[in-house]
Amino acid sequence: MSESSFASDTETPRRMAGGRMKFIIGGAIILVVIGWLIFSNVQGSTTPYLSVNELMAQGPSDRMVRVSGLVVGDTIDWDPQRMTLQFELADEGANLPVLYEGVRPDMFADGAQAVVEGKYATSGVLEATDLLLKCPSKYVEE
Amino acid sequence: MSNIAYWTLFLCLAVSSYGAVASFLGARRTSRALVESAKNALVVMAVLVTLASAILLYLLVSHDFQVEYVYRYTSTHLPFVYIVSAFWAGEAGSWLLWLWFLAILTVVAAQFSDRLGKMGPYILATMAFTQAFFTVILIAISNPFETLPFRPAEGVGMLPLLENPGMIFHPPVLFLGYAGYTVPFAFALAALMSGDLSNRWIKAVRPWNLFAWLSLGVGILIGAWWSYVELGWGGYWAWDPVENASLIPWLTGTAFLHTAMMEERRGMHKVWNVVLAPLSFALCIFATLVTRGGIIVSDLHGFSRNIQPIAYLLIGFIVLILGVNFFLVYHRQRQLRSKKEMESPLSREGAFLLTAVLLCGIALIVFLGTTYPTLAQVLRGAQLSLDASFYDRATGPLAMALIFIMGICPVIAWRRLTAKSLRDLLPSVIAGLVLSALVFVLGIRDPFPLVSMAISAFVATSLLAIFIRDLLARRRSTGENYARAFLTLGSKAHRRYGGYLIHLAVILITIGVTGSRAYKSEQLVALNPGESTTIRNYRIHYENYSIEELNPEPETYQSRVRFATTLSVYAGGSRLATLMPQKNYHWVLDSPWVTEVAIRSNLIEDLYVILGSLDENGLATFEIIINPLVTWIWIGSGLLLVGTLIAAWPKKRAPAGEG
Repeated sequence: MSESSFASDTETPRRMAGGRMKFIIGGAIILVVIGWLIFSNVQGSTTPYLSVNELMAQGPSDRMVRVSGLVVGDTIDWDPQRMTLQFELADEGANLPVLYEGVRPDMFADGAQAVVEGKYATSGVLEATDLLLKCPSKYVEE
Repeated sequence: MSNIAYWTLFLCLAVSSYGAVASFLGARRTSRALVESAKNALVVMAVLVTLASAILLYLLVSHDFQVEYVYRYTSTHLPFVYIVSAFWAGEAGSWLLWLWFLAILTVVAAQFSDRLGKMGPYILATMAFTQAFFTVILIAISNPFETLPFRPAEGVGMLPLLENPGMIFHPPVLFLGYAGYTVPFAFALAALMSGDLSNRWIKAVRPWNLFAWLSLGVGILIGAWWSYVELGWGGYWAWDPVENASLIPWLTGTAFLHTAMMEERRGMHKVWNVVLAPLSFALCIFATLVTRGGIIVSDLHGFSRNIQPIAYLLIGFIVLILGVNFFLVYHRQRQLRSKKEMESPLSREGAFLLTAVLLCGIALIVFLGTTYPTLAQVLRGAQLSLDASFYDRATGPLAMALIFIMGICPVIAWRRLTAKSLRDLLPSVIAGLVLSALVFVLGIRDPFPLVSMAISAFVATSLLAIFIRDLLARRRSTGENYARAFLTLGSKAHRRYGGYLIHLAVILITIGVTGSRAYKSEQLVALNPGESTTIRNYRIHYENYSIEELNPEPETYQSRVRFATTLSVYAGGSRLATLMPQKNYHWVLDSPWVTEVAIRSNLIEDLYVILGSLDENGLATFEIIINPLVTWIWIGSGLLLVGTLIAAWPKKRAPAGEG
């Protein structure tokens, strides 16, 4: 593209009116697409936080949920060969059995504050796909 | 010493406030003397901030643990570079660093302000006002020179996660970007206040804009690299609020870069520019609000919302910036009308506009996603989390469209689409289709990598083709040989080719992101010493392990038990590498475990090994990840730097044909 190819700009009013409309329609379509991308995906990616009691009241389902509570020390059963971790999560007097497959997190111990994400299976066990331990507030620096 | 520094900050406040008032009044009354005096004040300000910074550095290096900041972030065990980098390891120090960058940039900008007529003093006023604001933060909320009532013998030390080369460069480069965006903001506001809304400010702000954009971009990329090699979770971008917050201003800044080009070349999009520049700056402040303010609900950083006092100050500042900007735009709306109307959406103008719209759309999605859990908690009282897949799915299609436009844009003509541009695009379309067909034959069926690879090939060939066409045309018309034509093209139209290089860099990064997102494979395995496992075509043999105590006395953050393993990696019978994934137990820390991953990378894939656990008998669990094409992200980052430098290089001779 050399400079000369657009040096002479002669705008024609006739074009402008038609052009305007195209831009308004184009802009509206883009806005609708962006809005749709946000709303359709927010639904699928939001995971509600439930307490252990709330989860038990709702019963087993295929929905992903997040539950937080304290790890009960004497229920921890870690099998390093098969890398399965079973434990109970205590919250407001109720205990929730959890099954997690993966590396045992470093801070995992009795009384640790944990957040598990997964599905509450019909066996009454929460099959966790994610196990997060709450960082004690120290890690705030960039 | 620390007292002197603290009082220096008060002087800074007085001097920068004076600078702001004097240059503002100087501008209103067109008083040369006042403006000159304000300029001198800004030089004095830079000297004072430099003095305060030098004192902080001295306190750090001399281990003056009575100063709380020195006590909290360093210890005598810390290597020298990290003692220096402790300057920005904490909140107070990073504010001081930001202010120092800002003071230096202001002095440089002041040298150019005379050439900008009546805009000049308003630029100085805006920048001096921003400096005064930062000084208030340092004095009132986050003072790095706070002292303890006693002198501890040893400091607490630096968080081990921050002891990484990435952390030496990531924060300063990022802050340089944040500070850099003050300049486009000040220029835009000055244009609005002075009423000089020709494209003069846009022309003058270009190098500043590129500088801020590059610093912020490189800062983000170094952060991603740090996350990859140090945080040890196998990825480089987690869509964590802190990461998102720095990405948002970069996205709007990129949009501004493009709309500014449109105003410079075609006199269009004036409103976009006077809004995007201040918005990008306000979003830099928002980024700090997310990092420091405690307003964002985040999984990693704890759930409780304990709003820090600084949050109110930052929110106030953001509201002020956007409010003043909105008022001025409203006030000047008549002068901001574009002289030219766009003729057709299918033109280069249309492509630029669409680019800006898509970038702002992505920025909006990231912004809403980042604030959504907080908003949901405040408005509906609901506790929920938004997982990272939201961002991938919501921004992915827009990002793909954006990259696709990058391939069309150089070919398509100004004003409207011509049959010739369509013909020129044909080879690239074929290249894109061929590559994705090839990838399909190789057994890949997911839509995302197929589309992404097709678009990448399309854009890369389109960029290459335009360069070859230019080269041939130049050779034909001037009779120069290829090498000479290549060099003259590169130097005469460096803005254009620098821009293309940046686009090519974005393609390389896209390829890296596509590969590592779509074809990551992972294996969890428990091994005893002497045992092996295989993943893809690698055989990994667990040789031996060690457990030892390091720096036990005196107790600092650097005191730890090191759990180390040695692995040999074989492929096709030959030994490739020795990897030593480790874990460190820092018993002083609240979260004592720090993982040191081991990575073997080449151009095709990274073998990434995380030590999960290691017991006394040597039984270890490993998480082994194969991350394809990640190296291309870092290569693309380098190219981004080179391309921007070429594009920003001051021009020597007559303006070249740019596009």
